[in-house]
Amino acid sequence: MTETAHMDASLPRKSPSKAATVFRVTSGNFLEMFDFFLFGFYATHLAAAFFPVHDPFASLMLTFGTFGAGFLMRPLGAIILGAYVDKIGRRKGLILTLAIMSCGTILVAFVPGYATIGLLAPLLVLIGRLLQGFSAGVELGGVSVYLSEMATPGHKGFYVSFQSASQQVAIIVAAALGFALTGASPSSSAA
Amino acid sequence: MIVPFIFVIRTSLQETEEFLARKHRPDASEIFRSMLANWPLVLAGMMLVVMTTVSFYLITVYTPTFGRAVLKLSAADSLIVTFCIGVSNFFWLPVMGALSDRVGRWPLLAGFSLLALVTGYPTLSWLVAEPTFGRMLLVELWLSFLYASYNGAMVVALTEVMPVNVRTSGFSLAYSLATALFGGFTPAACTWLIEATGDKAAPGLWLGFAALCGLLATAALYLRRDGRSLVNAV
Repeated sequence: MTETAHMDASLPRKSPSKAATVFRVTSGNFLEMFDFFLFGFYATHLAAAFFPVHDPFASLMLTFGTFGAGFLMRPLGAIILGAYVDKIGRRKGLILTLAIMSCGTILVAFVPGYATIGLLAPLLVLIGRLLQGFSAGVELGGVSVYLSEMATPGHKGFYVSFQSASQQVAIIVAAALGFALTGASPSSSAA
Repeated sequence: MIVPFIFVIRTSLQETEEFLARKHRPDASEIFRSMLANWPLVLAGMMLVVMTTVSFYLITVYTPTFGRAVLKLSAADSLIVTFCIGVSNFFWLPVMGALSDRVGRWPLLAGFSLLALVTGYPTLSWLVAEPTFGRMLLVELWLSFLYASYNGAMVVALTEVMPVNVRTSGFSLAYSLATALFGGFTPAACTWLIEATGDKAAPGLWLGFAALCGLLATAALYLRRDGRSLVNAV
């Protein structure tokens, strides 16, 4: 404990602009992770809305496929978008990553259900999920590298740790939101 | 929707001075070739991330499921546990990141992967022997301490071991491969291990395996002379 207190006292005295920059760069990271957790929380709900319910097996396979495809896109995004970030620059790369992520999120959020537009619904959700995976592949790396390059000398570890720390905020908010929702309707504890 | 808001925030970012100061900007094919040439580094980096991604999925995905299935915890109770984990992680990550600035990356990487290797299975056995809400919270906080302490040093270490011209792509490839191959499979691996051994604490073995990966990768990256040995070798 004494060691912790000693360490806190010696943390870098950040100028406001550094702290603000850390906040600005990790805010997008928060969004990516928050979206990822929400998808997990509402997966069964999404599956019922977007995949043909008359065939449980096909519905399940499509859901798993959509999940898996999102994960498989990550290494691809890591190489292609990573090369873009290393060539064009950190700033433009992070903006492009967020743009792709937003397209994916908007697709998943606003596509009408299977009942309305048929097969197009699961197809669009799959494309949205692929875009999310593609951008997620480079988001963590892009943010980590940005933080390490803007850190004051000798404090890289402290700065870069806010990449993972911002994800914890996403978990905290998602859990609090879930708690508020289940608290509001006790009957839905199965969710 | 907060998307446009975050978009505006990110657009306001400035390019890092370190990137601006670099004269040589590699093109895509150069980056791909460099990644191929640096494959031992990407592999070691991936193993470094395995420990992070497995322990993260274990505490955020698997254990809450265990709480619901075995402890019959309500959704609200598991959300409380998840909330506490988030707070605990948020506290330890910057503290350990700052500590790694003082003592170096490898003591934390080696120390906490060793600690996870040794304590992972016993702590889960302790929970399974008498599953209560209190024990589950304690085990979760302990695992969160291990995860956050390791990860506080790991992420920055990964940015440092990658050659500068492929820093983002190398980091991202190592990270996403570990997530796709190991992290994503953690729930499945845990379920399978429990099924195969009949031991509900068996996910501790999976954590042990991940910790071993982290320990081996730390040794490969840092043991020879100084932290840059593997980087210079290729």
